Amino acid sequence: MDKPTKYLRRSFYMTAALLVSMILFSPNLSAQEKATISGYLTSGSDGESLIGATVFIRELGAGTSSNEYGFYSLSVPVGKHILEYGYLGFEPVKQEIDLKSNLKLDIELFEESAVLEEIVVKSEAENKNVAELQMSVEKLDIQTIQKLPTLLGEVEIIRSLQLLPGVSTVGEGATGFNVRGGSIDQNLVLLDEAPVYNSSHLFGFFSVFNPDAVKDVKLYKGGIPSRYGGRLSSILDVRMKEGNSKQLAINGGIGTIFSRLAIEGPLAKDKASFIVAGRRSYIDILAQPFLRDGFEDSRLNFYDLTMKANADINKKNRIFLSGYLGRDNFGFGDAAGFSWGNGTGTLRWNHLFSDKLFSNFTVFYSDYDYQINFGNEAENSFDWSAQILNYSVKPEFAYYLQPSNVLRFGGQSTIYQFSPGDAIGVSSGEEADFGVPKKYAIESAVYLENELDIGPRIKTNYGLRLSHFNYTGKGFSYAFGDADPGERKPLTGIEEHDQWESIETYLALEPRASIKYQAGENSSVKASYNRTVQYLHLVSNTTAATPVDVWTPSTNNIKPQKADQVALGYFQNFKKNTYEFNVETYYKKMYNLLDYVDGADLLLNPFLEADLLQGDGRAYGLELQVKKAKGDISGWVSYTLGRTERLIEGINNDDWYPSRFDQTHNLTVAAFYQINKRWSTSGNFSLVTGTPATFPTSRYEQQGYVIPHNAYKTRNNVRIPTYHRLDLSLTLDPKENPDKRWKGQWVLSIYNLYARKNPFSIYFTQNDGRIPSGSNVQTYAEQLSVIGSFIPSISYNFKFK
Amino acid sequence: MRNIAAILALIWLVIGFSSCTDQVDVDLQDADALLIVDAWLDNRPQVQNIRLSWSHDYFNSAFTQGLDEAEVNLTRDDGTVFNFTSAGDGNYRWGSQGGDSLGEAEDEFALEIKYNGKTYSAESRFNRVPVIDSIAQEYFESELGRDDGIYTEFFARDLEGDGDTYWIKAYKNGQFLNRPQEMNLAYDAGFSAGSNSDGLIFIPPIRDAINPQDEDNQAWVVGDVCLVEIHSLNLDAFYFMGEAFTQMTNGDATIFALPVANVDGNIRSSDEGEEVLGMFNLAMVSSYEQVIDLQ
Repeated sequence: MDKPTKYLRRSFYMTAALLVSMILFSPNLSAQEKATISGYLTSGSDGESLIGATVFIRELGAGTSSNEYGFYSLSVPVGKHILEYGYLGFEPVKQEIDLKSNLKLDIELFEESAVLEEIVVKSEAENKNVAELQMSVEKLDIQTIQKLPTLLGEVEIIRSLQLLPGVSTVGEGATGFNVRGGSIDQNLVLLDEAPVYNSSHLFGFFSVFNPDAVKDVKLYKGGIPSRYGGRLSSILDVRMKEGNSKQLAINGGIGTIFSRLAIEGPLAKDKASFIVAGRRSYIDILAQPFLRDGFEDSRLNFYDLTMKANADINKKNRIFLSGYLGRDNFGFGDAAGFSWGNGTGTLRWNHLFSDKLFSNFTVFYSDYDYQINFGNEAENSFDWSAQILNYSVKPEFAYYLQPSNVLRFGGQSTIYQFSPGDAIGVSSGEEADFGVPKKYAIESAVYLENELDIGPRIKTNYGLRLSHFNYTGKGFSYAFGDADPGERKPLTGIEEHDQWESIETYLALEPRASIKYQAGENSSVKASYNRTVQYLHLVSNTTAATPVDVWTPSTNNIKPQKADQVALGYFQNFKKNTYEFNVETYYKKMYNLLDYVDGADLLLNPFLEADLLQGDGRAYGLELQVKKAKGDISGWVSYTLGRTERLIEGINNDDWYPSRFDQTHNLTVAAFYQINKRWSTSGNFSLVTGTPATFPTSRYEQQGYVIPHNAYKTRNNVRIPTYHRLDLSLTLDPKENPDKRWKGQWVLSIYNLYARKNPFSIYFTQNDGRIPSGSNVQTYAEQLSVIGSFIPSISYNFKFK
Repeated sequence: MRNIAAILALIWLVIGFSSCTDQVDVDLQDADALLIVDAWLDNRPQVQNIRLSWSHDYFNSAFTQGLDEAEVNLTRDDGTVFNFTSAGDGNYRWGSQGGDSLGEAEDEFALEIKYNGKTYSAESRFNRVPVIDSIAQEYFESELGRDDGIYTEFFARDLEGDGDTYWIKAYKNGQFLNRPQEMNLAYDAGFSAGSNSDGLIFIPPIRDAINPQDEDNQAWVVGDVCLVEIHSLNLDAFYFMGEAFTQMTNGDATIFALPVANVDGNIRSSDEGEEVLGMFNLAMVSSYEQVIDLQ
């Protein structure tokens, strides 16, 4: 039997074994008569559904929490019960019921009055970090994100995530983020279920998420449940607000870089609502007077528009329509133009088959594209565009068997169209096609996941994801011969394929499992294992990824990336959940990671695959976090000790080398202080080991040019200096006056308070000016600092109801 | 498409808030000196020079130390041997102004260097080169960060057939425009393999890369002499110079810099473990000269 068949057969045996064990382990459905309480939990003030709110019946010790749509379902014995509904920052609700048959109970919770102590760093339930099964997950409340000091006054979701353990970046201004030693394309960034392929505006300074439209941000770094797939290292699940279903509300802000405006309101009171949120930058307008000769006609702006509408059709059906459109534009007169952006559209339908069976059907499209053009005359011009476009359907089901057992299953199928480059050049009136043929692929997956409590102390979630990738025509496949390790492979053949003709297929089984052991009332131990497989690759070999980097599918020459991760954690809360202490350690082994031959030609190159190398990676580390969740002073300290390495044949003498974003130590302190009812302040401090760099040892001359050389052929063999930075902010909130419809807030921020010139990189360079031939060339090292000074900013935010 | 990196970096610098660069002191590892062969020869009837030298520490800005004790010769595929004689400071020469040429298109050569009981060798051939038809001059208003003034572009058509590679050299008043940023390489009429530019007139970014790229002086003035030469390259030499360009100008790419890598040459040592750096390339050369006379 050949290897793939063997692997397949083993996969199916494992699936079957798991299914059997799921059924065997499911607690016996007792003879006692049961009924189901189900419904939606929403905020009483604006109608937003509450994600992760808790429902608990104390005398039974049974409880559950609401899902991403605010739905909950709890099956308990008939009789009299007291239901307790809770959501942090909201007044708890107690409801007495006499349960005789299935009961629908939609509950509205109201925010705690401001008299109560201010809680800034919050999660849904006070002891959620300990009690919940899920480990390796980071949740940031939009309110917490809004309190953090900002760069140029702009509330930033991805920059805020980088303050959490296990999350890092290659440097300031770089696009994306790295999770537990994974590269930026290993994060599945979801905006209302649709993937966002480039999550940055202005390279990496700002993210595409408009904070006015964001409700919930959740980052899975490990223990990834089976319902998520497609990327190796993390899932960033960003959920948009539904829009105020009670009354019309306007939010907005005026900042240094852009202004924002969001309008939300009911379409039919308590039944349907919408939100439209937009932002536009005005750097170009502000910079206009300072642009020097030749730059006067520069375009330099970005905008985004986030929209969502939802409607309750009836008790059993609810639909959501959401979309995002954003673009960055750069142009220099009509001589050159450059723009890029994402577009997404999601239609979701929640349907209740029964009080126990919740389902969601998602259909989405997502697009990332860029366009570049040069030349303002018809005789000589160059027009270039590239795109990744995908359409997907995703049915998902959650079966709330009993409080201790939820079964989730579903699938997903996605059609991809890759346009790596459509390019037409006109040279002296002659037209030439520099384009690269389109590529197509279909990715499919099915999953089954069982969440099961075994006794009062043990919670488990285990499941399987079976994923399949089909690289198809229409297009061309290429065959390459052997080359020395690290060298470009020679082309040996080209074959043409018809539309949807299968060129290469891959099948993978991805087991996932998590377990929690409740050690004491305030402490727990959690462990998890997950295998993840990734069929799409971002082809990028620059230090920071660029907007022109192209996504490519797995092909007959590029294997899917694969990872196995294990994590172990201990969670303990002190002083009535005032202090949270979390420690996790992880080890991740990765396979088929991409690297590139020296001098690789990655753009507009039909033979790109010849320039790609694949090899292994490993990442391991320890993440510590201490959080103070309550009181006038709150905040967290997080520390990560980590290592991430690559082993690629042909690089670094075939030995392991640290990846460009490897950081040994990463310490972050974030603190919030409520001075009085109106004034508050916050600060954050980061201290990070310098990232690795490659330094030359020697130099030599060729035709008068001086060329650097590294005699040891090592990669990333030295570290640039340590990075540290302190930011502060001061916020003035409006007076507490319920009658006032306009509420304004001032935020003052200073980024990089002590103006440290933190290194992004150290590079090696030669005389700046011209050297007469025959004279010697000076060579020296230069440090690039992205932010060379402190950056103060002021912004004004308002709410109108 | 290395122009893209330059454009990205330019945009990035425009918006780069308060980015800055500072010269810093760093410690570099010591390394043994390696033999360097600098053998870029052409078919013109003039003195042909090969230089042998030793690499030295990166921060040592002196010229590299020449090696004068070697035997250097070239053998053409018809068996003709050309002996290069030592002229001091590592230079070895053959030929004279107005004398014989090494050969013509498609002639193949083997380079052999004997030193210290070891032999160093490499192969190259004369690839064909297209003629330059003209150099155009045009007055431009300031745009894209360059000043107003007279700018030039050369016109030549890539030869039919895939895979010709060239190094276009420009001279201003006899001075070679030698800044790394001015290096102008072409694969057919475009930048790289697979770009389908075979047989075209060189594309505009290559045509106009013959203008000086001094910070404060990029334009030509009436009376300047603009000389353009196309040197044909062997494919390994094309990749060599392309990678050298990337490594020399990597700092200009700011946060979009490429990995630091060594530039692979084509010289082999008879001692398999020994690394030798540098390149042997034979070039056919075409040229065109234009006096700037635009009023």
